[in-house]
Amino acid sequence: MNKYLLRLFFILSSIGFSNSALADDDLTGGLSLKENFELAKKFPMPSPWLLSAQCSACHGTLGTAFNEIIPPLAGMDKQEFIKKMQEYKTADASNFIVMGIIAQPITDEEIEAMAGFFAKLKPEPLNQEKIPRDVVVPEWAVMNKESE
Amino acid sequence: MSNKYRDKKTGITRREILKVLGVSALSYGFLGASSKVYSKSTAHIVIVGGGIGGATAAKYLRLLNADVKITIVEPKSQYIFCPGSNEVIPGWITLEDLMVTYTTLKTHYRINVIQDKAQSINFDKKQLKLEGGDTLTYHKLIVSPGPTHHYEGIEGFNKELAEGAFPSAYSAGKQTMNLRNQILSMKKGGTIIISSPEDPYRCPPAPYERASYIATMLKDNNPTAKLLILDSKDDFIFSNNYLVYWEKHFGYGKADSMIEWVSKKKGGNVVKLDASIRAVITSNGDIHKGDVINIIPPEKAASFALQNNLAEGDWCPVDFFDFSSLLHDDVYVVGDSIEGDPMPKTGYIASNQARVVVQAINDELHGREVGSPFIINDCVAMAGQDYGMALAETFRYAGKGKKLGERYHILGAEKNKGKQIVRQQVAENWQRTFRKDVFE
Ligand SMILES: Cc1cc2nc3c(=O)[nH]c(=O)nc-3n(C[C@H](O)[C@H](O)[C@H](O)COP(=O)(O)OP(=O)(O)OC[C@H]3O[C@@H](n4cnc5c(N)ncnc54)[C@H](O)[C@@H]3O)c2cc1C
Repeated sequence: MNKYLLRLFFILSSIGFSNSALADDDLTGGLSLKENFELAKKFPMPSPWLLSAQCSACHGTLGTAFNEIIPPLAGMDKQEFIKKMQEYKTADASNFIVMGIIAQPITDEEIEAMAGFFAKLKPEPLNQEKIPRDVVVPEWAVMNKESE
Repeated sequence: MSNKYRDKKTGITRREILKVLGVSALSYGFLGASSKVYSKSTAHIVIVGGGIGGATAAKYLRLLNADVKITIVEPKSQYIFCPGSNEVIPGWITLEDLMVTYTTLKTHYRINVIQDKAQSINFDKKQLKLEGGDTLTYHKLIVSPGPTHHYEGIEGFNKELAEGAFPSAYSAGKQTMNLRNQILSMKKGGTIIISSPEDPYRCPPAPYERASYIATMLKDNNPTAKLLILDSKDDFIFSNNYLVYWEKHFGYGKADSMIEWVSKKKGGNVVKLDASIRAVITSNGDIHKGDVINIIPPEKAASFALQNNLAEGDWCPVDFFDFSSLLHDDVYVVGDSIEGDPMPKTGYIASNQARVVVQAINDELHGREVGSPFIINDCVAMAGQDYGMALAETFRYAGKGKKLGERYHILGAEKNKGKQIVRQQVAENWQRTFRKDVFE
């Protein structure tokens, strides 16, 4: 983990935080944000579990994994979570990876529900040593040396 | 539940919290505390396919429900992730990095994994017959068998050729290594052809990501070689990033460019392979000879889904409220096999569809009203080890019989070098986290 954090800090320090708006060649489409919010109002809100589980693929199972660059969400203070998400929702989103663009169509009520969900959980990554690494690597899958 | 579980600040019990959160005792237990909320249930949920959709369904159903019986039917003893498999071609990672087994699902999540192939469904008796002869009785059946690579969709092409001289490498495995080895041993100044299929197919940016990596390999090892992308589409996702990257690194757009992309309109639509002269032929009759030919064939639903009457045409129609089949009761279909437009066919989406399904099944088992679906897709793709890109999509329920309401945002080409690299690092980080999220 340290290796990645060091690399990340090095990279971040070279970026500088110009609070620039999103680039000109961004492409957006499908529903407008307004239509998206209208649609959200028409049906019952998805459960806090489902909303939060949608974050698992990046932040680990129910937001609990801390690894390298992507931080855990579990255990995050409720108000802090809401504040961050609201920041991401603004036009000159402060995150240039996906948070600046994923937060925009999520409603305030949904953000609050997720904040409540994550605040109750603990960021406890599974103990890596307990995970068996028992794959059998077939002969054909072994890399040859040529390109290394 | 006794008072000792009352939350000090709010005074509500853990059970009430769990109810509000819609999270089961087990998931809570897995994350720290432990107590049982649900009464015993003997329901048997059977899952066809232990890939991304199937494994996520199994694990997340267990997080929601401690008691339900869960069985995965999967013919392979280990799964190889496709996300990351393009990086195996230049040798930035190994196939071993992408391999996972079912051990944690079996031991930690108490999932019964049967190594066999599902053969047929008896919808009336709610039974699944396996090739090995066993029959499983299900209450609910979740089907996530991935796609069929429809090799015969290209005249003269077939599975044997893909497993031999013309690797498609569109499911990670032997063909991936084969493609890598062919590129490494190609003659100096040779030509590589990639044929990119018509929509829909799994991971829309993957052919272009692959093209970028191959061009990077060639630049290092075989700088006079050419890479020709023949496309059965007129545009592709992230072209706002890839074309910029290719221009900068491979001279794209110039006469002596290493990389050339031919749209369908310009005659890129490959319809035939002539294996005897190592050439592909496009719909307007152009013949392109290649030293390495990588045809990514068109796709359709898995043969299991087609043979069991779960598809209409090439894909399986579902109710987007809970991904239940429109053709049969108590059967749900997720992942690459479904008619999911406007959702693209990605692992990220397959896993998030699986979460919608297991919540719906669990709600139903408990006699609760089923919650609304909601689906996110984030894609972090790369052009090289120094350049990443990102898009985000949300999909909302839009009513009975309607497609999901999509909102998407694709980031444009990033000029700041540091940011390019951070995005690339996030893409790598995502792959590792995702593998753990699905299989650990
Ligand atoms: C090169 C490449 C790169 C990709 N990169 C990304 C990425 O970066 N991000 C992303 O989100 N997605 C990516 N994808 C797409 C992703 O891999 C698929 O969308 C995803 O695997 C779909 O999940 P699935 O469960 O539908 O199918 P799969 O994961 O393919 O799983 C299907 C499983 O079903 C099993 N099966 C089939 N028939 C039967 C049967 N009859 N009985 C029992 N089992 C059966 C198969 O053995 C297989 O294990 C990529 C794909 C490729 C090819």
